[in-house]
Amino acid sequence: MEQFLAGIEKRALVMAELATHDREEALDLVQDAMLAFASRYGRRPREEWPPLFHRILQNRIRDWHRRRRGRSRWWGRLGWKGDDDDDGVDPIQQAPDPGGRLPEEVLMGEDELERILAAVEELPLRQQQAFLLRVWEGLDVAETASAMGCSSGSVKTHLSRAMSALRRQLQE
Amino acid sequence: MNDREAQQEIEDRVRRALDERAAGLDAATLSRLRQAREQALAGGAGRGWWQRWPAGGGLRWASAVAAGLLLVVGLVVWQQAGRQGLDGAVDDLEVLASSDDLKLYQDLDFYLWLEREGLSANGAEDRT
Repeated sequence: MEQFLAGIEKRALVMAELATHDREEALDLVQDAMLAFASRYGRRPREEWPPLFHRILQNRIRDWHRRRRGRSRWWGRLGWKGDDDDDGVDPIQQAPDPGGRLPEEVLMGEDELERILAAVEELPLRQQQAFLLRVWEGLDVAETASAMGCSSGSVKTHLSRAMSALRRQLQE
Repeated sequence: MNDREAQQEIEDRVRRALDERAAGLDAATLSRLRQAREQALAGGAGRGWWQRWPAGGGLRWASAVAAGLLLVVGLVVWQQAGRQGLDGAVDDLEVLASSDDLKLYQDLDFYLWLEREGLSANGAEDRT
């Protein structure tokens, strides 16, 4: 179990961060998902773990978006924008791990990296989830559908739209 | 490049970018992920019910709950203070507006004592 969580946690965090645009929120979501997964599904066969973990994480992300929409609606009625624009990023916190990789080990230029990630970030949530689970996590269509709580047909539709949007953005 | 190849190329680029992002996470974030994993594996033993906030920023939720409690306490205190103040003012007004002699109120303790002892002011006078 530890090995599984250690192997999946970084990708889970990146997914949650792309969906929420917020590192703190993403960490909370991943922590919640790991806690729920470990307490509920530890005894299930190992091969079932990836879709089960992602189902929990994606549900948490979707709930977060619902709450966010609800809150924005209320604040909007009161004429307050809320703290959506508050991006007080701590540069020290955001600095890459100095003990990690050397600059020459980084394969992609920073601008290119940001451009690609911004394109993924801009995808509608369901398209983003379908794309990340299928293409990055390598889940098959049925597992992706289970993780997203929708039909296989919906997964294909979301994925196809995501691919079209990314091609438009990245081939320009 | 045909459609299939173009799609494959996009997928590879995005996959590489995502791998880069995951591999380049800062030390503080990695440490928090490790802590979260350890807590999950310990069955949340290190995480009491008060720490199980709904996802969405523990600190923000704590602040919101604290502000809510403060508001409720403030309202209760304000209402009670207002009621007590109003009640006291009404009592004073009744005494002042009463046609009874003010001396009666000043000697109220004495008359209550007489009543407790089963004596009336007149009876007491009669026995003397």
